[in-house]
Amino acid sequence: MTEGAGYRGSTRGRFTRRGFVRGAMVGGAGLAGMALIGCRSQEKPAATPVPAKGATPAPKAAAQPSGEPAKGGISRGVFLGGNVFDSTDVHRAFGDPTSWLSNYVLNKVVRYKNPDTGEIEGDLAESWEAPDAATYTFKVRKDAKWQDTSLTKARQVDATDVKWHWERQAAGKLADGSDTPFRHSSFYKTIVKIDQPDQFTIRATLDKPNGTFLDRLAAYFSTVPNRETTVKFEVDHRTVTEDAMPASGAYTLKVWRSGEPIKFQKNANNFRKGEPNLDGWVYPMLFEDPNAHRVAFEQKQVDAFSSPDPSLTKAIIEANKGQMWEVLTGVANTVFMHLNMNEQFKDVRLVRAMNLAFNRRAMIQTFHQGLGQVSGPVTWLQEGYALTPDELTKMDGYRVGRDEELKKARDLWTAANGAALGEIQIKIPDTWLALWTDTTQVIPEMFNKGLGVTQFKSSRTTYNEEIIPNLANGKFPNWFGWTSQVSGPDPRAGLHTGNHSKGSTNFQKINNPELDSLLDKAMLTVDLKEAVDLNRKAQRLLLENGHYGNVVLYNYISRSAGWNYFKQNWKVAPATGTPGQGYNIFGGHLAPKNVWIDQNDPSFKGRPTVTL
Amino acid sequence: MSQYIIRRLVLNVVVLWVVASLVFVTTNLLPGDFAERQVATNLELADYTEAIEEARRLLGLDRPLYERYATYITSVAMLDLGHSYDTKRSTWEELGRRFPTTLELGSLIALVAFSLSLPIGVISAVKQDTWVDYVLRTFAILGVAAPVFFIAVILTLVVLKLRLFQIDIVGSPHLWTDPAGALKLYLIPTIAGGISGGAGIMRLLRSQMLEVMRNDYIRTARAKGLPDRTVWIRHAMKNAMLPVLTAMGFTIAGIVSGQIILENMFNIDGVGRFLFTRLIIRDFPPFQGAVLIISFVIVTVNLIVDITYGWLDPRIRFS
Repeated sequence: MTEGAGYRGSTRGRFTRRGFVRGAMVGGAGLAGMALIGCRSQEKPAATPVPAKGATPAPKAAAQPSGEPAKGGISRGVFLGGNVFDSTDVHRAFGDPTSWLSNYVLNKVVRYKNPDTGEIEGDLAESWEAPDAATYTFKVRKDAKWQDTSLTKARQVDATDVKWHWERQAAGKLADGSDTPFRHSSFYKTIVKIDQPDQFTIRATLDKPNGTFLDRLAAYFSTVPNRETTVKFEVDHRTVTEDAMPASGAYTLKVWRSGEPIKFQKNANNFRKGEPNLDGWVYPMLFEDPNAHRVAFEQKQVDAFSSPDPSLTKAIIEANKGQMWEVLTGVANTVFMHLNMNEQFKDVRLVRAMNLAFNRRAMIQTFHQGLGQVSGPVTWLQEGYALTPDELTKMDGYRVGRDEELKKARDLWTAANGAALGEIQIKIPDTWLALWTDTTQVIPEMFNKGLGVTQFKSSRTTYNEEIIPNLANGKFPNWFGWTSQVSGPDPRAGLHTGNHSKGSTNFQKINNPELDSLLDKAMLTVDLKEAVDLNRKAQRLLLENGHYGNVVLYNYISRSAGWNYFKQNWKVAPATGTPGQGYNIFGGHLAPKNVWIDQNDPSFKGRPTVTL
Repeated sequence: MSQYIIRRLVLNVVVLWVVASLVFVTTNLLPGDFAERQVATNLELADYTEAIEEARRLLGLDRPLYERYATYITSVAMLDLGHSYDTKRSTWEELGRRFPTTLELGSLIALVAFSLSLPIGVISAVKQDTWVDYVLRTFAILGVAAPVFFIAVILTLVVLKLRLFQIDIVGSPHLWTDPAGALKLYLIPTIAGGISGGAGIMRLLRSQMLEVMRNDYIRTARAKGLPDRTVWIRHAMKNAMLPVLTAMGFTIAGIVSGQIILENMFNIDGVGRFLFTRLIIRDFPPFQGAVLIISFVIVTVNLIVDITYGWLDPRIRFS
């Protein structure tokens, strides 16, 4: 299979977990993002000669009018970071790489129509009803089929698959009856009754009304795998192989072997007719060194690029002026400061003072060259629910003028006798320090200067050794760094578990009846407008209390570049001299429809051929 | 002679045991393990802890360190270097897949390094304090001073800017499948590695040559009416080569260990890049095995170099 153009599917920064994430992202280090950068192509018209070797010539005639999605071709991407696949079983995979991969191969019950605002549409389900937020009835589409293997025999996807998908995760048991950890079992345990009136209808009854149920089913980690195959591979689930994940979605897995390039092939039986635009994708070996990635990009061996150093990306765009686009995308891993209210910061006034003293905009400049935006308790990435920027900039900690903020901060600090706290350590996780080494100087200096004290110090810590093991017991250190909370556009569930008095991740032991009531009501409604209103009220309450120690600071922005011939999965397309905008939240499922190559673009000339 | 070799072989076994033990201990002292890397970090604490525990159990990482050490050292003694946690393939297989690539690149680097350093070292000494000597010394000093990645980056930027040729970063071509593509990929790392590796040898050879050429036997050779070339090559260079040989031995050993920086910079899937990625993801068995093999090669090359000393200089006795 030969191709002629390039494609990029960048999901950098969109992969997050529910909860605290080691932000081993960027720069090859890991997690806040896997950057998937690829090249895709399209079939050349029959008359177009195949290039002799190495490079694709500029086509003489247009296969299709420029601007129209072209069919065919093979994309080539890059899977950045030292991530490993921990399981072929999407239910048992605790790491995100398997979830990422499954989104190109499998479907979910429902999916995000707009990944930023949270509007839902059917995926495997063609329709659904939710009369009271505790009962959800789905009609499964009849035109979805499993990839033809000896186990699936190309049978229809039906409600039994969804039933098994829910029941297995809720039970937390393998086919032989043994217990094993399932990443999302606690969520599926909330489904207390499952009815299947016919082959294509399924009804879930929840233990209590949950307005966020659909959002969870649309999340990137909620793909529905084939049951026969998953059971067959239960024992060997840690050995990656393409046989373990037959497709029902846009692509089938051609090669999935550890240490080898991952290869996807167009699923000819995809129920979404006309999708995907590509014949396949290839994800070659990891680029551990940014130099290798850059050389590949500049020579069109991959079609897009994003560096942990945004100025490098900018420099490459400048050096290839007129041939490349620039796109800015919010990074899902939110930057937080956590102050332990169980121990050192028991007085909420101290937390409020710290919230005021943290100079968010200065830190965005210091660490991210200005590429970032302040976030409230719900980040700006979840734009449907977040407080508007206008409102936020009138709140404590978010005002542009620093004098008023610092005066208030000092008054609160003095009133609460902050000096009595003695030395205050703000720890920085090693994964953050790997990218911004001077943070241990910058953070204490900001607080010492802002509050007019000398008691702030900073040192290195790790998520796995000091932070996570001490969350549940309430003895976690104060720390500054990534804490991902953005795994979907609907923030209600995360806000509830983290801030409700009975929330499972309420490590600060927050107990505010008014807040509880708002969070409860927001969780119960399926009315989006009502949910947003209630949620915003809860956010205001959190802001009044200095976020109760979980101080949300900002989300930064990733800059990516691509060759002009490569049309991406953009939210706002780039124009000459103006950067485009990527989807804030996971929008990879839209790529089969949105990503294509303009083979007639002058920048396409010289692109090396790609084979599957 | 044979007694000396036996003694050195026994000593080498001890060295390898120490290396194996040190590598095992130090890698296990690093924060994090492969189970954590697999499972990653998750706030759903109960499930996360369970998943980590299960992953550790499956990998055998839940056993005490001393138990794992005993298993490891016994396996090593039986030439079993373990299996990759990630790919499940044996260390031998993993290294075997990558060694040809590293050998390709390493041989080219050694070729460039020796081709540059030997003639330049000799010419620089013979033409001492002439403009030729100054130019060549400046070149050698630059080669020593500039890190290999710096030379590689500069050369890469030149190739990109002038669009000279395609460096096939993604395809990883080999000399035996795509010679032209492989040469284009290897050109910059070969030049950068060759300059960097050869510069030290150049300077060493020059200084050795200058020292040797002041000896009486060189004067005698000249007095006998021997041609200059014979004096330089047969009398001076052969004697100057003793320490140079040691340096060259390490360059050859470097071929086996892989050019970690260069292989990573150019996405060359050789032993060096493999070592680096294994360390990053805490896939320790192949990492430990690879380090052990590299150590074996280094001590063996050292032994060969020492034996070669005797051939080059009969005055050296192995007693």
